[in-house]
Amino acid sequence: MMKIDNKITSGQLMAIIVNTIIGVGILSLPRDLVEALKTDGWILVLISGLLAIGSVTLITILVMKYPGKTVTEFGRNLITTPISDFCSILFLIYLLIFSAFVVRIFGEIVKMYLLRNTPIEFIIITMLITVAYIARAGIEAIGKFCVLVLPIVVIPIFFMGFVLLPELDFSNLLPVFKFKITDLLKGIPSTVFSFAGFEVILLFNAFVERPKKTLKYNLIGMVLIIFVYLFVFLISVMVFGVIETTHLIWPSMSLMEVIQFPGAFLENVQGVVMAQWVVLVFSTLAPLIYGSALIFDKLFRGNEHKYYVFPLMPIIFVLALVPDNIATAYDYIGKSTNILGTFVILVLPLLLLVVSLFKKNNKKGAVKNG
Amino acid sequence: MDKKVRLCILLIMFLVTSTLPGCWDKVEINERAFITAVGIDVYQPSKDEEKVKGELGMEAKDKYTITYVFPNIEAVGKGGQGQPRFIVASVGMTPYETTRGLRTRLHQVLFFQHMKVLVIGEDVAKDSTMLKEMLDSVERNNEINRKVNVLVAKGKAEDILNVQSQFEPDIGLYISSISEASEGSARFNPLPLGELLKSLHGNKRTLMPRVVPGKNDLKVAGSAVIKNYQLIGWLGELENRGAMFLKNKVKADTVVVIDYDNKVVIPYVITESETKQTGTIEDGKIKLKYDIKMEGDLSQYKMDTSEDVMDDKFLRGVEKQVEEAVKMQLDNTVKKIQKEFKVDVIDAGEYFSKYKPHIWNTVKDDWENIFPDIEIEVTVDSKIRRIGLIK
Amino acid sequence: MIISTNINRNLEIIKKELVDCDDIVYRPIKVGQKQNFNMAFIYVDGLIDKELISEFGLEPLLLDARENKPNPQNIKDNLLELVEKGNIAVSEVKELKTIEEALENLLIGETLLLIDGYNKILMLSSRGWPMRGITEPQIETVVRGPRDGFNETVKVNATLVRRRIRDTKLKAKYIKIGTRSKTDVVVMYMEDIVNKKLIDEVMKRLKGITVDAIIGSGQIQHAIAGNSYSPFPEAQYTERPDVVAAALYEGRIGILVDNTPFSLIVPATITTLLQSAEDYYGSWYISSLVRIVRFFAIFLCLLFPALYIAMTSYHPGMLPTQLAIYVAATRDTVPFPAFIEAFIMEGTIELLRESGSRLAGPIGTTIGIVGGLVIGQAAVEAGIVSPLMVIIVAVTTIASFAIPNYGLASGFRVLRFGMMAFAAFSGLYGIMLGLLLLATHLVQLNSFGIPYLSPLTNIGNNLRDLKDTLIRFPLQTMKKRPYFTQTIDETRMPGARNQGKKGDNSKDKKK
Repeated sequence: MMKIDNKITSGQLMAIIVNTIIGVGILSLPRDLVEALKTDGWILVLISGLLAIGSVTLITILVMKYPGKTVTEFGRNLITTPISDFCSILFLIYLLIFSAFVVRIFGEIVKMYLLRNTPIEFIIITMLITVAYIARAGIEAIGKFCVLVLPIVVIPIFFMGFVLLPELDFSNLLPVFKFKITDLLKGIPSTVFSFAGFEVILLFNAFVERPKKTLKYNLIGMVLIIFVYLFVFLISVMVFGVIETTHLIWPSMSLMEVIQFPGAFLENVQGVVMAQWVVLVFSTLAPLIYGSALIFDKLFRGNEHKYYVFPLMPIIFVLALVPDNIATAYDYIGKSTNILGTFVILVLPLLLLVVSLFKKNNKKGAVKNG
Repeated sequence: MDKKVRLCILLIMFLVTSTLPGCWDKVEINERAFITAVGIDVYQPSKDEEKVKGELGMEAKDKYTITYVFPNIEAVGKGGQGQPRFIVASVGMTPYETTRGLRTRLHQVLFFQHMKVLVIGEDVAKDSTMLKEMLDSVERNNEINRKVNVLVAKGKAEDILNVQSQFEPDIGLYISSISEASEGSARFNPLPLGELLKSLHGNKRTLMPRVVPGKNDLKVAGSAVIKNYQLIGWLGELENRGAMFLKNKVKADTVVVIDYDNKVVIPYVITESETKQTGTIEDGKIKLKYDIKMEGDLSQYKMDTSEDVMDDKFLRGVEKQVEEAVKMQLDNTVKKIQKEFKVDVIDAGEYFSKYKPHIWNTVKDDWENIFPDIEIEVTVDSKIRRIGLIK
Repeated sequence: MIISTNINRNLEIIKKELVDCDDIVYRPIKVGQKQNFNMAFIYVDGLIDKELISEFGLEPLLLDARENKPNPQNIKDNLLELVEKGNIAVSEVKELKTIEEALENLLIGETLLLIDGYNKILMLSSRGWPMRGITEPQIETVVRGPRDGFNETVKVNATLVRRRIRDTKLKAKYIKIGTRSKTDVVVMYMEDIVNKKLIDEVMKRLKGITVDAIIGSGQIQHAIAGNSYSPFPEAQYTERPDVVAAALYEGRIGILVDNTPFSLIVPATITTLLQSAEDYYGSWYISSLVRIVRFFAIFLCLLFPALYIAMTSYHPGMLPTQLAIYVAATRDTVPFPAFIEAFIMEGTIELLRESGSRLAGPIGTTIGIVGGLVIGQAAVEAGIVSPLMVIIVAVTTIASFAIPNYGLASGFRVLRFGMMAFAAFSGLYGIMLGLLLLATHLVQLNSFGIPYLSPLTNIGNNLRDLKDTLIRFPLQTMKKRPYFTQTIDETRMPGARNQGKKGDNSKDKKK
């Protein structure tokens, strides 16, 4: 029968990617976009999306050459063990910082909207423990969970647009095409990072059963994300207008305050949206933390990632509490993920791909490890 | 073995986390005071207090007096006794501090998520600093919803909130239900907090609905004109309607015309109305044209007159009268807004910024001064569709 | 132990083994014209069909043998065979070679025939004990559908299933589980549909059961489960043969257990546990509606009290204003915080349920009504709980009865206390964490290798199973068997393509 053998399907990988990417970025995204390009922010979404797709294609092609192996493993073949291990460690640090960032912002928002007086440490610890449970369970559990949760992540966002229909003012999107190219280029770095998360393909493709289809599914996933982001941006601007959107720290959250169900059996839909959002963040954190434990495990050439999960928790916890307040939180962690992120998303895969092509050209009959 | 370990860890985690003193946010529902309405006024200290300067040495003495209304829980249940609601006032330097000051006097935990109405006293609205402070504290607060209705009181907000309405004991619900029942009237525009903030952030000007206290009820009609975060004047009920026409926000209203021949006063009920704007530059001057198309019913005539209402010519005559009446009102409104107040509360500039950005770019910086001089033309076209059951 | 040729010696051994078993009957007879052949019947009084034995066992030997005189020579050489093949008119006769075998068969309800001079014992099939008639199962009633249900005899049950599947590919394997109870268990499956690996796994697990006695099918269910720490059942159980038959066609395996009318169906996923037989007999509209109600019932059963605690103690902003004020007013008189109130009421309901199940018939129903209404009402008036709490508790209990599988409902019943605890210490956030932990657990659960949460756990071919989860699509659309069972033969409706098209006579021409 289907054994528990740590394999996922490409469909599940797609769900993992979509879930990882849609996390905390979606909350502040409309504001970033509007600050950069005002009503033309949607152009920025499309362009950043295309760049992200480019990167995804790059990464997917790379990992398809080494089915069954994570980047830590095949990196050693390509660019010598010390350098590869160093890169893997950088990747690991990147994942840890990213997780810390996500969990910190998550804590801030839960504190703001749900549990005002609860100390943020409590919120962070409880979330981390819950994520640890699924991270220890392994990639199969994460894959299935992400498929299960995918509709919960995606559908309410479109549903929200439907419900907000009376509040939408399409004219808020005018005027169009009034931006400067320099603004566009300046805006790209911050928006591309709303798409960050797909670098986990580098690690998880190793577990996919039939890797041939991954490219198709990955691209479908990215396109879906572009749609979601586009949608959120459009709704935000249509409801709030450009100026107000720049005022709100988390426009996507403020959107839910505007929703009013006719007949109102729920006075504030806030609660439901917050509940859904906890799931979103959980599904973002789980692959990240699992990925960190995995890298650790592969660095030591082991095969049991379970034991590395709990030790990583304190590290993330401490990192999450480093920024003193919310302003520095976005600042520090945002900046460090920018540098490390570019490395992981762009530099590393490009480097590995180039080297692999080079090696393949040199050696006939490349050694293929199943 | 592994499963057992896992289970143990889970159990321990569960026990630990559930026995932690983890109920920071737990407040029993009956210990909360559900604030439904808040009113803000300027604090008029008594003679003696005026001499005392605040700690900061500047004029940072108590400026605000804020009134809070919340229902009396005991009066709500079966066999409830006591007054239906509590009204408490507090004084402080800033809105937030004022609220906090209340903690020394009330045992309940103040809870703002059910707040329905924010009433701003006239004197606060006239002071731009106070208005700005207050609006910031409300916007930044995560408990106060963006759907809260904001109104300006003619006089003191306190008086408004103290009115003992015969219809609905809870002032917050009372005012907000009037605001929401704007179906039948365009004499005021309901303004949720979100909308208010949007227009203020954008342009520093807006129209806020006005509320006037009566003996045991309230009237919400007309609006306050806010320019640069300051109240500079009022628009009456009909003038407000005019402004609503220009902003394309009229849902239903009644226009009264007089049939002189038969000495009948005819109310024309607007059922639908749409306003289209077009703007151009003519001879170096900006010209804005508003085309208003209305549809409505004739709801009342007079018994036993010789006139046959169900006659096309007659109806057209009435239509023309309506058009003239409305146009006259609108022209008056436009004149008042342009000449007297000199502020673009009808968001005429928005049209240019969206549809004619190249024009907008040349004028936007100076819009405040240009607006009073632009030419605004209004044309009205009304149709009577239905006349009821009889001829 | 070997059987001796001396009948008396055999009788002695058997009697010694079965000393103090006064329900064993020993019937020695003398057969033959000259009454010189000693034989003995041994049987357990109550387990056999006495008429059968006396008419077809005793009578032929005692009477007919005298009338028909077989050749004496034949008798001398091969009395055993003569008796076995010639005289005994019983439908099934077997030769037994050891005492242990004989005793085993004796205790099942077969009759033993000892013949002097031979070292074999004949076993005559004579089972016939008092059993319950075929009645409608009490907890799985349908409005429209067959009313026969399993009873406690496994052979009868297997028959009921066979009546519905007249196919040579229906296999029924008998095994005995329980080292001492030696309970008969029948594993039924369709050979050309079911996945080979599945049936192998099931047989492996069944044979691996080492307990000494099997009293009910629940024991088997928990013994073959992969994860025994989970509150969720990994097998479906039913009293209805039509359910078993339908499941067999889906590529699943039925396990019928002697002495209990509850048979198991394996593998089970959460969607199958939410199905009832009625779903397939009605139209798809009503079935879909009912399924949605059940799904909603799970939600209520698990979360309603927890949500109450979260809303009143942590997030009253989410309730409509009027309701919030009303709840506050009613809770004003209650001395306890919300979660204590909830725990008290839920605890009381569990108590009532437990005591209600002790008392059968009219007393039980009365207690239920008395307990529920009166105590609830009195508690409200005494000011111990608020009326809203009573409503919530009542709705939760009713919701738990809407779930077709009692094991699943029990699982959620237990978990709701956990949810209440989570809500009590962290409000809605706590509930979400609890749900996430639950989802993580469910996602890892496998029933014989099939993910418990199929079809929701993958994007791919398994999506066709969605036609039968929340909404039941019309039967014409379900052309293939369910994906989750990984069957060999996927088509349910061969030739389905040609059905229903207008003006198409091909259906008539086929056949």
